[in-house]
Amino acid sequence: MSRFSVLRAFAASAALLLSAAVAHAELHLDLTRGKIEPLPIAIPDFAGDGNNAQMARDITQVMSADLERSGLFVPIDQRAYVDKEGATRTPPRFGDWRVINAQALVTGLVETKGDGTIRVEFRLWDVLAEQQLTGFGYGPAPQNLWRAIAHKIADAVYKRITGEDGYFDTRIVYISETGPADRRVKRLAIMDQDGANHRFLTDGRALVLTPRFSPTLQEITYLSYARGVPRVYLFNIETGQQEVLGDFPGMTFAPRFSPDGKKVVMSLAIDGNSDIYTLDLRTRQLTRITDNPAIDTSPCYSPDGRQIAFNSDRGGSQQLYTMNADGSDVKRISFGSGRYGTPAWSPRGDLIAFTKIDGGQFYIGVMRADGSGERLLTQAFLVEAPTWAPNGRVLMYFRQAPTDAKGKGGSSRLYTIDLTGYNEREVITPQDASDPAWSPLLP
Amino acid sequence: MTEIGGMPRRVFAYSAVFHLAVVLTLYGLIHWHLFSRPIPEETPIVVQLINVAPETRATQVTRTPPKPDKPEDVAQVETPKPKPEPPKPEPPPPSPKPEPPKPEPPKPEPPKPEAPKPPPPPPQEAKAETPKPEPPKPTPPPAKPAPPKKNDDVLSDQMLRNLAKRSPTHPTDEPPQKIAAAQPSKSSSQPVAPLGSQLTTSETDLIKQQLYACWNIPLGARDAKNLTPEFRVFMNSDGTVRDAQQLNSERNSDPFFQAAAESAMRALRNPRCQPLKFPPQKYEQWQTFTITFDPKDVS
Repeated sequence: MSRFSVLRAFAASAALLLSAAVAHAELHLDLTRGKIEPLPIAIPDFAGDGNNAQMARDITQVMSADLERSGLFVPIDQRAYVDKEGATRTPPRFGDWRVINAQALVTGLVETKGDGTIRVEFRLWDVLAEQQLTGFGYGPAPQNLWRAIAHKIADAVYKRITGEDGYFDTRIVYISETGPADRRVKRLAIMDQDGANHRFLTDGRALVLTPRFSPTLQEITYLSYARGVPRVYLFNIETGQQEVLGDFPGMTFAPRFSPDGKKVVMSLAIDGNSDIYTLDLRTRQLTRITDNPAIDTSPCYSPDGRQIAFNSDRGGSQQLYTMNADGSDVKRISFGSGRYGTPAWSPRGDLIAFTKIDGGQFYIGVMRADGSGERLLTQAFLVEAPTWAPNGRVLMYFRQAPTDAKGKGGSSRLYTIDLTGYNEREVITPQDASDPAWSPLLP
Repeated sequence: MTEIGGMPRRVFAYSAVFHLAVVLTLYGLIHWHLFSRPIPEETPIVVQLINVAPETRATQVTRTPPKPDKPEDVAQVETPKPKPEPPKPEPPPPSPKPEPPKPEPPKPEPPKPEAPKPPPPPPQEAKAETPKPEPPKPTPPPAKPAPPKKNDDVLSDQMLRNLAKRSPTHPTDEPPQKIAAAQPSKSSSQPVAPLGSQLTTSETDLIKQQLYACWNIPLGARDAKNLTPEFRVFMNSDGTVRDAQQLNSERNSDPFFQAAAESAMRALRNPRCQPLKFPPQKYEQWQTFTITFDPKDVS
């Protein structure tokens, strides 16, 4: 009997030791793969107070459409909601949202003040963790700013979920085109990033090209052939005033602002030789940056202003180069087959977008600033002129269809594509469109 | 002596034979009944139908410079933690302004068929398809090859699209298997527990497969390869996650890292991935474990 109990005690202690040893060897997993799937998000209509119920719904829809277009979110159909009054509940009934597979939830309300202004408030919830992730109130603000507020809320949601700044409260300036190919009317036009608030800035009497936003937002540079001579103009969006930036001898192409907004960099063809120049906007002093018998064009500053990317045929074919802002240390960065052009340095600084022509096809691609990691994102008969969203995650460009034997077709449209290369969307414009430029985030 | 209890022995034998026959008949009937019937069809799986909201596009013009109102913070609402099941009916902390129980005017919202949308049709949708089984949508099939299925769960580097043809020697075709094979879970390389009670590589791979399906990797983020949140996970014996603690939460001051950590946490909490298919008899082995979410080589 006693021998038996000794045995049992021994077995028990052995088991204990064993389990301790087991506990020490803790299991570890490395998860190196995942899904590319948009995050399911529930966005019930914001609550309104009687008169502004429609505005509350509109704000919800604009915001929801922003998030959906980003490709990173998939708003869940409102008809699937269990809690129909979900927008009013704080905190929400998380179980009701888990049931429909929502991982995030946005609730909010719109209040109308006595003086007719509105105040909008929202909260973003993590449905699985059952906690509030962020929340802001906007206003009081004039009612006509409801769209801007909707975009700002979408930006805040995007930022909290991805860690990256949003890009929804932004504008696009581009060239609107109508008429037959030989008598094309080109007008400068501007719209919100989602196509709303569209308006024309010029009347189409003069040919306009290559609009670019100033980092200070209120100004656009572009090239106009008013009176038959190409000149670089500055356009003030708010006042509508145009100003000739300079009357340069010979041809000028593709002016772009420096990141501090104090300079413009462009290429000038003097005596048949095209080189890169900068123009100080205050002193109007012109400085030559490159001095090479080859054709140097399409200059673009890095976001820190220290470097310039451009293209040149100095190596025999048109390729991308970078150099210091003073013209020193020129380095070729593109080495693939075909020709490269229109470099656009990402606002994030890590990538340079470009147009590539290879085997009769056009491509939009990105590479790191040192030329490594080239990836081609989209391809067509003609795609050109990539411009970055201010967060460096999305590119906009235009795509032109081929014309048939009678010169018909050839329509030209704006598209966006995100860095993953999968989420490509058309941006609806009233007429044909080319040469888009994306603004920074509005203040 | 030929009778037992007044019954002839023969009768007793008959009775035994008769009982045996009854039992055999019953067995035969049951067997025939159970196995001769057609196998029942699979029970239908309930699916969630999700539509993608159409785009809005208003047409009014003339927006004055957005005089954006500096947003003020809306006070954080504390939500009662679900886990510890508060014994006292503690009222949820009141939210500051929004007066939640405001009797809203009944919003005239029957299941509205998304009518009030004057604006133009949604642009050509070449969008990434949603994962859910969807009802046949009126939109034409996307012109683009939306996320190719084969890429769905390979290394995130390969998930980034590249139209350029890859050379056959390019390493990208290998990593999936290599990673799976070359990185067995640490436990299997340390034979501390007695053989047989340890989780095998195929058992841990099964768990990884489950979690892959629930982890939305932070694709396209800057420096995504450095966003490697690590957790200690506490499991219930039924395979559900009881709790998870981030081990490197000090790095969450970086909003990218925080976003990555939260996306990982959502994978661990996602009801679609629970219970985790650990072998129940090895609960000792997996009642706590550590896990690193590491989107290698994105970028």
